[in-house]
Amino acid sequence: MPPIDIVFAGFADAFTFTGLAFVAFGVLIGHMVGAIPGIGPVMAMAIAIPFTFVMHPLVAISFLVGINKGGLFGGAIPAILMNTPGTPDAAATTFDGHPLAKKGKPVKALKMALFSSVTGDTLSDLVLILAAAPIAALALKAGPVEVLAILILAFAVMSSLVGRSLLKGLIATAAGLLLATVGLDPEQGSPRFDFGWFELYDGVSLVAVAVGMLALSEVLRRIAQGWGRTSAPPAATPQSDAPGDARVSLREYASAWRELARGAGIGTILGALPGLGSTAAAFMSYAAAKRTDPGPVPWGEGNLRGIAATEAANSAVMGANLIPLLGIGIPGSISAALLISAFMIHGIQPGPLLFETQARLIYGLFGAMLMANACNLVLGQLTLRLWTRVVRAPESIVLPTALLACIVGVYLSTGGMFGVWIMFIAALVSLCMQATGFPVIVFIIAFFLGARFERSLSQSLSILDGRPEALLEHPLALAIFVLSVVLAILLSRRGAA
Amino acid sequence: MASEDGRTSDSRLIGVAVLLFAAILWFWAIPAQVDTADYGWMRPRTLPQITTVAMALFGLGLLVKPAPSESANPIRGPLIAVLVLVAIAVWAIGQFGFVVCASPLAFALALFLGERRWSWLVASALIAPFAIWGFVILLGRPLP
Repeated sequence: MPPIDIVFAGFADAFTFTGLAFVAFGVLIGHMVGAIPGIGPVMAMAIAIPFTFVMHPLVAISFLVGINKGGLFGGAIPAILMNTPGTPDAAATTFDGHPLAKKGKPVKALKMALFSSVTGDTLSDLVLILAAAPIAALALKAGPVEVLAILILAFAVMSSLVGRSLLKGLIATAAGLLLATVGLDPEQGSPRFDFGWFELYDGVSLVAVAVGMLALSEVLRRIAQGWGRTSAPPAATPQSDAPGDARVSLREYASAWRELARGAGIGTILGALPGLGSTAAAFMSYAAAKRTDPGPVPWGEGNLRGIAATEAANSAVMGANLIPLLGIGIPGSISAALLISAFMIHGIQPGPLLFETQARLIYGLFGAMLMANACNLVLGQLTLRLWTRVVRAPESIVLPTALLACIVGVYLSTGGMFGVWIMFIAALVSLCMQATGFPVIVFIIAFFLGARFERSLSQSLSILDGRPEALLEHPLALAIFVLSVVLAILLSRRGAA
Repeated sequence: MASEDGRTSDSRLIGVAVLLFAAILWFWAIPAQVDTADYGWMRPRTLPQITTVAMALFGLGLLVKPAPSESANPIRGPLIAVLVLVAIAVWAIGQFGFVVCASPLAFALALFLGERRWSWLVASALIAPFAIWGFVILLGRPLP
């Protein structure tokens, strides 16, 4: 644990007018992109990263965190109003959210989703603040062989949990690691896979790959899906005039305390494990809630506690995702992987050493996360009615805007059109991967961790001096290697079942 | 059953493609693009070779034990059209600049999306390009 004055200084760095303004702006963007089905906070974060170059690192990362947190609630808005989740993790919110909206209580449903989202998010942020530093301290005791083993464990778990095929997940991992070798070799300094382009000496741009694979590919797919379609905007959901139907009383909120606590717990545990996302957490939390007595309103017919269960869980994942990221430098999700690229763009290497070298920044980030929860709560209530209109924004405005933002953002961050072409190629690769069942998320995370993997492998080979039997002198690493294989096979079989 | 067989053969084709890719890497790309070194445990070719062997093994695994494949993509035609349109637009932006090319691109995409209301078409062609242009000017950065 860093000295207490550093902790306080970090929190003080976060609670400034500039910090508050950018966090609030990020939360608003998150609400907006979450409310528009198919856009989502991940795409918005990928597009926003290049524009954060000019910001202070704490402000930049707080802004991105704000987008992520806002988006976690934003996805519930179309889920409740139109039975169409704005983000995949809001799919379970449709079970009770939309039926409650159809009963003439959409604002009540939205407010319960907001309060539950903020509750789950805050609880997991507190776990993060308390747990990350001790985990980082423990991780610092690990040597390169153990770090290599942990990386392999993370890749194995992600490959087996994300997508429907372990083999395709492992192929995507290998391909991501291969892409990370483009550029100058870190040991000898000789160029690899540059094909005569000096622009590749620094490797393939993280930003171009992230924006291309996550944002541009989705925009292109949505444009292709919308070809020639002239659908009318969905009808507005009627709101009852009874005053109690447009608010959530303290009693109603408190009646869901079990679902809130259980959801936050499930989301926090799943969020700390790489590969499991907020969608799984939301469904698990709802399934757990359904095993209990629903009370006067049956499950699936507009039960406020059903909304609480799903939204608390999917939002709790966000804070917990940062536990492996800040503790050992491994992202727990794609949004955490995007934060890695934001850290690296600002010259900060995420990992356990952060608590020693950049403790003030980390506690500033923690302060900004708590501030973002407060902004989410306040701004969410003020702008609810605005977002109910945004869900019906025409794609003819939204998608071209997103596409142009991708092009400009990558141009600014990479300094030229070469990066834009890399982004376009990355989008093509992503579309091909999606069409053939290869998990894009695993590929991206492997690419982001490639340099670290190669460094750990190099150090491990030196330590082991090329003798496999020397691995017996590292029993923890050996155990983790074995666990990787066992878990990969077990989890992939469970998925197949 | 016929569709199941179809998906199995799709998966095997993917396995073959991965094996072919690994072969190209091993026999051409790595020797041509990556230097050799005679010292150290970690040489420039070490990780590329490890990942290539891994891809080949897992690709072989797909041949032996095909994985469930995705169903046919119904938007393939429109997707190819959009890709060509955007590729041309990216080339044009590099040649003629963002300010000249962004509005026609936004207009074309709005038309592609089925928008036929002139007010929305003009809005799409003007709002996004000029909003982005204004924002970037505020940041003090140049556009293509």
